[in-house]
Amino acid sequence: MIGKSQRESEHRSRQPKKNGKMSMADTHTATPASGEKRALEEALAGLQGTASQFGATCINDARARLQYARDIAAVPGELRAAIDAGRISVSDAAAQASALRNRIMELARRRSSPTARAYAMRLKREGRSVSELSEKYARRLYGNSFSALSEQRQASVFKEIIQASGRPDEGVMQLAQQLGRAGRRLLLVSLAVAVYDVVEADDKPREVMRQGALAGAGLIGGWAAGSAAVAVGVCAATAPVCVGAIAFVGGLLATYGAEASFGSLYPRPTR
Amino acid sequence: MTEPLNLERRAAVWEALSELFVGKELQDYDYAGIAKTLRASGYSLDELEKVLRKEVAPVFRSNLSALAVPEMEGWAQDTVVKEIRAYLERERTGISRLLMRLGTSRALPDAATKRWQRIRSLLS
Repeated sequence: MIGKSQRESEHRSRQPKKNGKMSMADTHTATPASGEKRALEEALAGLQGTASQFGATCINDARARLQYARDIAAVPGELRAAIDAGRISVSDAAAQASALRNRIMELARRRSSPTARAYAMRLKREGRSVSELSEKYARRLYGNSFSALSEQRQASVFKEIIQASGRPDEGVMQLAQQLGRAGRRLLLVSLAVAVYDVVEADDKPREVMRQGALAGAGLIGGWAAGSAAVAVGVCAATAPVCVGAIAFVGGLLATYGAEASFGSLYPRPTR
Repeated sequence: MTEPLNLERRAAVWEALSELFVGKELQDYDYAGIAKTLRASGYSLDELEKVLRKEVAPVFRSNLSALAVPEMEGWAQDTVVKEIRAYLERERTGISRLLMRLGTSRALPDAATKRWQRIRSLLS
């Protein structure tokens, strides 16, 4: 015999939520036998995890790039101060400017996502030497070989190498801001869907944990898959399309995995 | 350009044009230096633009992408020649040929377009 409260509970569970809408979280309990809804929910979870992954990756890469621009812009000032204080010669400062910039570039690439790293390394792994730069600037500034220049002109070549080391193109660097904005928008959309799901869910603490697990799995899965693809040699370190595709699939699979694991670890309470 | 590649003549042009894709701000002396090299090559403006779009841009445009931590000082001539020759000599079938066509028909990145316009004005 079915009691009144149990009948009411069953009736409630069959009712669509506010305005006839059902949250993604509710589809589990509303129609547990429906394979299609289950598949839809998993696909949406995967999409959400991937959106979080893309958003966070874009923000991280934009940050790395802006930091790179800031760091290289600071180099000439510091070296000029060292020259003025007599702590370093102009030629040593030029060598340091070149070496520092290469080092800063290397660090910025390491901070980037595996896909951005592969993209950046596609062309070149090492910066130009100071002797190459001296020759190039000597020809540009004075139309002559560096060794043929007077000492004074050689010093001005070195000074220009130092100055140029901290002159990023504003237009090129603005691309990083666009990337960061796109990442923030993507993350906001993902966050809005997550908040909607939490608001609509009956078991809110559980849904908060679920959303956290999905976003975390997408982000970590994508990053780890991209890094692993390079580490084990599935993709060359300089093949951004391959690394990007594997990061995408990795993020998606990790989200599916998190969704399944979470469902079995914390089953939905029966009503 | 269908005549056999004169590598010595082309290498200097490739190196000069690759500078349109660096991350640093180009100075007047950079533009003058690039224009001087291009003028000395003897190629017409149209030929240079074809070299830029079909040979140099597909290889170096990624340095100006939003994803890249850009190389600032450009590339040594040896590197430029190696990269472009590898790109041109890669055997292509099916999808990779289609991708190559798409790659060469794409517009140049904004920064490279502005720089090329400035070089064009110095050359014409």
